[in-house]
Amino acid sequence: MVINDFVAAMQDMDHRALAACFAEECRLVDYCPSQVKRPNSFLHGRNAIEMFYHNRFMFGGFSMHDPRVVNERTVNFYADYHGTLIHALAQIENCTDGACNLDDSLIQELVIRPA
Amino acid sequence: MGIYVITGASSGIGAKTAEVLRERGHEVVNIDLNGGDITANLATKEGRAGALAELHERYPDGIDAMICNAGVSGGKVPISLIISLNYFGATEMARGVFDLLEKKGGSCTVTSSNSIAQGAARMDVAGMLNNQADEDRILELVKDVDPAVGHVYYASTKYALARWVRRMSPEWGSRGVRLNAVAPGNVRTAMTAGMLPEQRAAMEAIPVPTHFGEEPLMEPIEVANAMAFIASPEACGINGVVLFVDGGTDALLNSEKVY
Repeated sequence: MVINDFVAAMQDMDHRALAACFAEECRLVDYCPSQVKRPNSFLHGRNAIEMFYHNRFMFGGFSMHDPRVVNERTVNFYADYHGTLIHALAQIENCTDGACNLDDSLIQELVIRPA
Repeated sequence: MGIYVITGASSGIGAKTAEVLRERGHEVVNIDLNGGDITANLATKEGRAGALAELHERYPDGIDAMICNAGVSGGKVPISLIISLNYFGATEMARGVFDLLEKKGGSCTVTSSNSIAQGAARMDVAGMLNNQADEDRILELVKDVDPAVGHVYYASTKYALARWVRRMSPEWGSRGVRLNAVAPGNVRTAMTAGMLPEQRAAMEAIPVPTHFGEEPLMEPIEVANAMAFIASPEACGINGVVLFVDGGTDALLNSEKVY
C-alpha cells in the first residue's frame, strides 16, 4: 500500500522515494508548522514535493518519528520541525485507485494535521 | 547609450552583466580589486573614496546606473572582509554616487542573495548594520569571530543590504533615483566546480525549480539579464524591490511569504 511506501520514504528521508508515492498532479498540505510558528506548507505537484523535502530532509526541517499506520489512508506520527515535535496525522484524501489499497496506487492529495 | 558603473565585474555575475550591458551598446566601468577599469579595494574606506573620486572626475555630468555587485562569500575569509565588502562596500558606494545618479535620473542596483530567505542570517548582525552602521565599531566587535561561521555573516550582510534598499528607496525614488536589489540563488562559478562533497550535498538540497533534474545552479547569464533589466530605463516603475532571481527556490521554500 502506498501509505507504507510513504512512511518508509519519510523515515529514510528519501526525497525521491517520497515523490514517487505521488501522482504527477498532486497536492501535499502540512498544517503543523504553524504550531511551531513557521509557515504551513502547500505543495502542488510531484516535482515540488521532491525538491521541497530534499531541502527539508537535508537541513533538519522535517522528519517522521514513531509512525503508526492506522489504515490504508492514515498514519499517526510525531513530526519533527527543526527539533520541535508535533503529534500529527497524515491523511491521504485522494489517490489514483480511489481506495488507496493497490500496490500501484499513487497519492493525489495528502494532508498533515496536528493530531 | 548609458554609462553603467558596476563593482566586482572582473568575474562571475558582474562580468556577465558587464558583457550584457556592453553588447547593448552601453559604456561600462568596472571597479574591482583586480582587472577593473578602476582598481580599488572596496572593503576599505580609502579604496571607496578613491573610486568615488575617480568616478566624479570622469563623469561630472552624471551616470545612468550603479550596480553594487562586489562581494565575497563566507567560509574562508575573515568576517571583517564579509562585512566591509558586502555591506559597506555596497551602501557607501551607492551613497557616494547618488549625486551622479540624480543628475541623470539613474538607478542603483545591489546584489543581495536568496539566502536571506532561508533563515541563516543573524538578525542582531543585520540590525547593527542597518541601525548603527558604524563600520569601525562593528569590525572591532567581530574581529575574533571564527571564519567558519562566515556563511551566517554572509547571509546577514545580504539581508541588511536588502533591507537598506527597502528603507532608502522611497526617498531616493522621490528624487528620481531608483534603488533595487537582486537576490540570486546559487550561481555556477569557478568556485562551485571545486566544492567539497559535503558542500555539494548542501548545495544540491537548495533546489532550483527551473533547473529541476539538473545541477541546481543558476547560470551567470540568467542573473545578468535580470540585473541589466532592473538597472535599465525599461524598469522605470520598479523601485524598492528585492527581486529573487533563483529559478523559483524562494517560492518553493517560502510559498506563503507573498508580502
